[in-house]
Amino acid sequence: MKLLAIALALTLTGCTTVVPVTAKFPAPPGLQSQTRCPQLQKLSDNPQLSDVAKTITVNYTEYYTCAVKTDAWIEWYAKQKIIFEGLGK
Amino acid sequence: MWLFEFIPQTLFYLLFLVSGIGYAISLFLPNPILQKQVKITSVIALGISIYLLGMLYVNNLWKERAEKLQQQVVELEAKSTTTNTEIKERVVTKTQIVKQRGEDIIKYVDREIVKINNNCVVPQEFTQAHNRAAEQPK
Repeated sequence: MKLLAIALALTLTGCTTVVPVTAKFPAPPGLQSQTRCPQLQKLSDNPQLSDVAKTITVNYTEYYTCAVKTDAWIEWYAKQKIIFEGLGK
Repeated sequence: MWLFEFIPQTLFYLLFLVSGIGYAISLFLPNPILQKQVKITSVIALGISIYLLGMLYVNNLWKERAEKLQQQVVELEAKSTTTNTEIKERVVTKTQIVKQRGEDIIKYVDREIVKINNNCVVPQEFTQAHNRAAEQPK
């Protein structure tokens, strides 16, 4: 009975197959894309027309800078997904 | 499998060979009791050795596949890094363009719009509406 138990244990261990394959999680697309988008600027009290124009310009610039980062992440995800799905094919 | 990490593979082949020879020898043994004992032992050893050789084959097959897959992972990681570098460079270039454009417009505002500052009074309602829109949602 003991022998049978040992034989059974040995047989079952034959089913354990450890596949030593490790893959690193892909790195982010640069440090710049890891920074958060800043808050938009507000107008001061009683601003002049030039102040308004400047504030709006700064805010639009911030928006487009942030859009570049978001687009980068979208592209990063799409491309990394294709690369990841290529594994094992 | 852990068994193959500790026991040399040659021993499995040796067991197969010895049990085969043992079985062959048992056929020519004059003593029937001894012949039966050797035959049974040889057959059991042969069965075990065939089982172990089968496991060894499967183990080696998995190892080979794992190595191939690991190699593929290395290649894909290199591809991933290249893609990241491309995206990173694009982010830097586009950000520079956006910032340069903003700076150019601000220079234009400082040069041209300041001239008409006195022609227009910005209503307080406009400022409030703008600031509300610029405020981050809570």
